[in-house]
Amino acid sequence: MAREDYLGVGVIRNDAVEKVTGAARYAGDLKFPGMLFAKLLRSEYAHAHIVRIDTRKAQELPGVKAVVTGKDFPNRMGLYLKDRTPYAVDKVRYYGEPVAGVAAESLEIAEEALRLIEVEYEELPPVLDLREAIKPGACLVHPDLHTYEIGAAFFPIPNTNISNHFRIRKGDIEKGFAEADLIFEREYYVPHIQHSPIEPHAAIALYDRNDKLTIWASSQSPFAMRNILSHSLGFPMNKVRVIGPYVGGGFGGKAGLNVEATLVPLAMKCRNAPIKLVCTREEEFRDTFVRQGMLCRLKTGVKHDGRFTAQEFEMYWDAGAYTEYGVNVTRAAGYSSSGVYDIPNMKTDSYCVYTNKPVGGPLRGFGHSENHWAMEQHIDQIAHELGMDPVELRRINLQRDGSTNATGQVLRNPGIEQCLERTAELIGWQEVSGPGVIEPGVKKVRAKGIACMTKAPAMPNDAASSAIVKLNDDGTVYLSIGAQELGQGSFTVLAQILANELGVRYEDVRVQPIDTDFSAYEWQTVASRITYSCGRAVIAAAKDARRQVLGHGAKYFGVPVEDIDIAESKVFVKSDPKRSVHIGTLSLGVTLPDFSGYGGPVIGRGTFIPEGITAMNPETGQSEKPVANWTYGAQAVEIELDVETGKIRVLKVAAVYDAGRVINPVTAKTQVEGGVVQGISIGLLEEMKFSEQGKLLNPSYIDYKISTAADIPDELLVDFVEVPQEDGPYGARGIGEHVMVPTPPAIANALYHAAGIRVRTLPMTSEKVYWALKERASASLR
Amino acid sequence: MLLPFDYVRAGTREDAVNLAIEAGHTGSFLAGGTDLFVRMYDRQLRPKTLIDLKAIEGIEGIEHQNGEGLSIGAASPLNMLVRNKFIRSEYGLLAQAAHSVGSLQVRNRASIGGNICNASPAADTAPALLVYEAEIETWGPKSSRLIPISEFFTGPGKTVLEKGEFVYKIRLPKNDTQSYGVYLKLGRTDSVDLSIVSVACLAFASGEVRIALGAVAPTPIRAREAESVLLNSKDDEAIAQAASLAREMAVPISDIRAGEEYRLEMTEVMAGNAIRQALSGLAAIREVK
Repeated sequence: MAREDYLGVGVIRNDAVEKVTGAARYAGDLKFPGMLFAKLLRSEYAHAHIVRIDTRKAQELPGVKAVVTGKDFPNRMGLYLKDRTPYAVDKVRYYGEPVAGVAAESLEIAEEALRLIEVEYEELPPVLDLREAIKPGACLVHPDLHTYEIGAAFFPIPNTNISNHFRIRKGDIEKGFAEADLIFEREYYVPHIQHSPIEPHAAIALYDRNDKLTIWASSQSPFAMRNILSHSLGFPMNKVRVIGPYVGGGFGGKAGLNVEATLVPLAMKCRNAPIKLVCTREEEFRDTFVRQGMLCRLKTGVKHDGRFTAQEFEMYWDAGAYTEYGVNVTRAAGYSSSGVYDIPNMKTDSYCVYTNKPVGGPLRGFGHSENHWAMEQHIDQIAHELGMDPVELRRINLQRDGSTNATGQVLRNPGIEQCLERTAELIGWQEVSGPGVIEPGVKKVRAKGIACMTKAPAMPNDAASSAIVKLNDDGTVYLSIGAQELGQGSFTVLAQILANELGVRYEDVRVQPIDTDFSAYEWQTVASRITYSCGRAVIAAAKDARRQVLGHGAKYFGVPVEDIDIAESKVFVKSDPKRSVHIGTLSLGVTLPDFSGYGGPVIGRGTFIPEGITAMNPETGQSEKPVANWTYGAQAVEIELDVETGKIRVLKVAAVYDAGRVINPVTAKTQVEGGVVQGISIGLLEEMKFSEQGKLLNPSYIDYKISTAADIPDELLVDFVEVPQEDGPYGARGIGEHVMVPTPPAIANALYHAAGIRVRTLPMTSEKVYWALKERASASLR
Repeated sequence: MLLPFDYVRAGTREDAVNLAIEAGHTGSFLAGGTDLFVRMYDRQLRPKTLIDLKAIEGIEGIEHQNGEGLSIGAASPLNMLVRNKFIRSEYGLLAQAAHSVGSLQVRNRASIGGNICNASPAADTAPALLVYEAEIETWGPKSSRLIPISEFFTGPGKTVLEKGEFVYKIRLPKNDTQSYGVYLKLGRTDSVDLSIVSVACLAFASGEVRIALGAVAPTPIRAREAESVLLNSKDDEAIAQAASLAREMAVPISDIRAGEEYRLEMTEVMAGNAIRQALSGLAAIREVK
């Protein structure tokens, strides 16, 4: 019997009171007796040999407990590609790379010690231009790339700067273009951006007398961190423990292993002393993960009637100094390169390119914000070339039941058509044809634009989840999981799922903090996969616990187990509901009338691993089931363009996603709202700017702008489609990342409808828009 | 990480001057500290002694007497100006400019004195003070001075203040006739941002129009040539000419926030808009009365 007690209910978040009262503890709040403080000396060159490091003066400074450099820990680490060391060894590869680390009794002493470290560099030509980096004979960022350990799904090209070349070869590309009536080709660019979590990276590392390394970290990935540390340290897994307090925002930047690695060699030198590192905001900008830049060329063949016949897509990723995680971004953007469309003939090449820039890595959207920036503007331009409404052209090419995507996977009931139609309805879409024209004297002009998206969880095929449910004798239930609460609301939704399945009150569920020594395993809190994957594990664990409680109930009441039910934390006899007992009474087993015991404490266990995902063909990227699932969505915006200044204001947004099943309508809605605002911010404002020497010029909010409360649209309309996900919990699938993907292209399309201009390089700043308007005005005079 | 420093609180104006002389070049005055501490964190400034001015009598607070104009203590936080009813009604442009600085939290601490003493070309209150023809009352080792705001700024980050001299009060003369002022600020975001270009325009019932520009020259500037065009005529042509003259007076730089050319274009656009809005605002209040 499927219960529905807590499904589709907007319960209050279980972390709400703690967080709004300031009681919630984050990694940066933690203090331990005898704790030391770490600071990192960072490279002031983008690319240079380290000729000499002299740390003697720093080591002699009173209060300094340890100084380490790359030589102390030369092991290479990484999630998908082992190309990275905690500290630069022999050479630095970006401006900001850690060169040495200090642990001292105070931050002041640690900072002073940094100034006493002498480093002699020999500058190398920096590889900063993506186009130069891929040329034959280019200076190599990693000359030893061919010797690095790498996952089977990735294809580096030896003796180049390309650490992954992902390919799609579907159908017959030449035939597809030959059949086309019109071929449309354009270039697009997205710059580097930052995650901007409210809480910067923070970690404390302790290497104790039992040779055990414990790390408290603001991390999306306690278990993946344990895994990477164990593999690169050569330590047995049981000698590494990661504890994860609440995370104050991750957006991908706290996935995998990052700045925490720099503490490991320090901790090993300062046995039994906890060492704390909290990133400054400047370090957060430059020295954690960033979102890599991407330059692409998109070419589409289309018939007069609007049918796509072929698509060629080349993506070049400005992936930075290390691509241990970034290689998978480039892969994901490659296999999703059809977007939401059914394109019979495809050729996609996605190149992950090393440059001497900060380390590219996961950021909400994981390559999809980037490739959709191109695809979803491109289709609008084609529509206008054909004299067709952009929504209509989408309708013609949308994936439907039986369609194939870039990987050749045959799709079953993709929800995109419903999402698109509902979005168009919410925004009040009216047919548009051709560019907007600004009449003389008009100062403000309004227009609408639309964009679609799809994304799958980008994760290893065997990324697994698990859950443990423990019943306490006061009737409360402990849920132990390895999935992290990043602000997205997963602790709330997983507690709802547990309450729903077990029959207890939601308020009685306590989600336990994560500790890899005690918590149930989870791969990582990434890929919008927690509700989907961990949700299934929680259902299984709850069912297991429920089976035990029902058995206890049957024994307690002396009735057949079929006659027992649980609801609202009460165990009762179905045929005589007056006979009921609080679930806590049965939590540790049953005491029978003769005072003998039965059953024992209730502990449920559950696991989930998505099944049937197979490797893509390395040559063609084709696979029957390349990923766990696809989530679809659409967004439309109405903008007001200030013609005099070029400033875009987003007035209204409509966003519709196929969540499969909405478990908590409040957290789902707020997730969409947050994503939309991030999408607006990326669309209009965000860009990391580098000097010609590769130095980041805007590592603070003074000149790296993100949307403020004042920039939020007046109206934000959110709705959901519910086409059930076959293997999702109650049919649910993830939406966390998706919701920021289509906003920038929707704005770009609205801009065209407003003023007949396109800015193909993000962000669409007032200045860029202004000059585009000027150019258009002068072109129309000619 | 902050370097160590001494904190001293001046009880009187004389005290502040003496402490500053004692501290010499390693001393720095402290009011709200919202800019100072950011620069200390970044090691752009390394003061060894911070002399807190906020305990000095009269340095915080807003006074106005009929016929006397307005006197603002230099350490008054910007939100005090934003919330002051008299300023909102009689010197509305100053309230607008103060409100456009930073965030609510910043405005709770940041002082008007600090905003001008930092002498940023983009200081939001400066164009407002320029069109109100404010005078800056200072205290220093030699004497007390009254400096017209138009002579106060000498370059980016530079003022006429001498060693040990601090701003005590900012005095705005009484408006003799009805006026209406507008502060327009073009930033990247709608709040918490620095100006790319800002324009203050104050129109008087007497026919006088004053215009000041921010972020487009080494200091905030009055655009007097643009003003003079509007003395005789306020029709569209005159406004367009004034806006064009404002642009000619601008000598902006290209930086990470915007290019020089864009700033020039925006100076003209925003000057035109500010003039139009100020004139129509003035017309509206005159109709009511």
